[in-house]
Amino acid sequence: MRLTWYGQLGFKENPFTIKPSDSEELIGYDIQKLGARLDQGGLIFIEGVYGTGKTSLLRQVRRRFSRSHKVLYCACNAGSVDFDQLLSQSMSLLDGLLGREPRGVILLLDEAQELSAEEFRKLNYAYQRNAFKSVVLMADSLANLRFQYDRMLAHCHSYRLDTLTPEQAVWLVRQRVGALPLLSDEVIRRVFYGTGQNPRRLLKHCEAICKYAVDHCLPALRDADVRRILEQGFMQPRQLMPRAQ
Amino acid sequence: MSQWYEKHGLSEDPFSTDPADFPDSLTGYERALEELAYHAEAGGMVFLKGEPGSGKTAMLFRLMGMFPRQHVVYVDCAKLPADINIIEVAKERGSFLRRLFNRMPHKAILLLDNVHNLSTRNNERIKNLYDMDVLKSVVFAGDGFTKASFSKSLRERISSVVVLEPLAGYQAVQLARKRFPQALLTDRAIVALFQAKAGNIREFLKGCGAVCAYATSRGLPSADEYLVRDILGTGAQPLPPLPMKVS
Repeated sequence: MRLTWYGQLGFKENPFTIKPSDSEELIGYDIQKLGARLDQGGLIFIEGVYGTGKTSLLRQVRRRFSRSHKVLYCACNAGSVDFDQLLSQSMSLLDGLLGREPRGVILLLDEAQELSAEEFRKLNYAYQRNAFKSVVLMADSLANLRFQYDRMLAHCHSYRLDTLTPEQAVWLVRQRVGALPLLSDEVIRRVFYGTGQNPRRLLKHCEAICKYAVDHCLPALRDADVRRILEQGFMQPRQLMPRAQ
Repeated sequence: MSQWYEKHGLSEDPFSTDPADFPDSLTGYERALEELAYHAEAGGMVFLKGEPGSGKTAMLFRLMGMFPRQHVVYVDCAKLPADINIIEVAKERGSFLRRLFNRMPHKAILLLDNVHNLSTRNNERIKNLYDMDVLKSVVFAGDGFTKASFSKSLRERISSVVVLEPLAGYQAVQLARKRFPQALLTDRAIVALFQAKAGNIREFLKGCGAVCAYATSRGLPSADEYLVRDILGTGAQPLPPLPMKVS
């Protein structure tokens, strides 16, 4: 198979992978503040549109807190959530011998908008029994949650993932590819605005630009090429969601 | 009774429609294959779109041959029970050791054929495995992007939709010649067949085989477009070949 564009530039793997990362420094998200909230305990709801790094954030939390806490991660979109099984995973041998509920568990629920009312009731029951120290529910929108907005949610601490600034967007790309001449800061900012300021779309379009440039042996892309690549594809730039009140 | 192609010195049917046969004869789809291969290697998600009979499965089989065998998992979703857990299916395709320990194939490239048969839940399971980097990349193949049960968040991850456009007449000729270079079928006959089958490659190959079998059974030196139209023009099936004497 032909050498990939990133292979030709000396990268071992695709630098613009969109897979959630637990090792990359997140930009624009105050993970220290989130960590302090997790230490205090409670229900935390994090809202973020697609491609803004929700799963990456959860993976970073998992990595950072797994030494000091028992951290459980569950994706709610892959089938019914078995909280009993989650609790048994968090139970130490001593807990099991003494027949007591596990303590100090941080539960991370990704795609929380898929929780059914019954699953949320079980979650609430487990939380009220102090089975979980903190529960983080990650979803694309608070309004999209399928269960009723009951008093439990009213006591959540809510956060919304902020959009990146253009400078942060440039920094995100530079962290991936360094000072690659193919991509000027100006092009990165143009792509960032052209893709609705969505980090995932930014990375995918930067990949398309670099691939095009290398495949066509171009030292840098012309404006018309960048414009055409932005207009191509089946995804159109979307407007940002309005900020939560 | 010997087959028509044996009389032409061949041991296998050159117009076989088995996707596993003739993996190097994907004429006209070289760029599509290149794009699929790139996204499979680069760790992306890609959708391969094509009408039934357009060659999607053949493309996937060809793609399998471009990577180490233990790194690729092919699943035909049309053959799965409705309530299957796709993860268990993928685990069964791994190496012996991984099957022994009930583990997924390591950083597999997952090829899902007829993905419109897969439930939203199974698609979400695949998305989760992809996010966790258990799956290196995923190729979804189906009739249409909108027919697949994809959640919005899964759609957002798909890097490209590769469309198998209908071949042009000359590409159909190239395809047929690659399979069967002998002059039994004229170029015009091939084009007439391709047009009669509305560009469906599977039916086109079957038609080529049927016309060649007919011409061979009657000892004709070549089959032209008039013979093709005579055989197919009224909509009747080609006449069955006459029994051939093995010399």
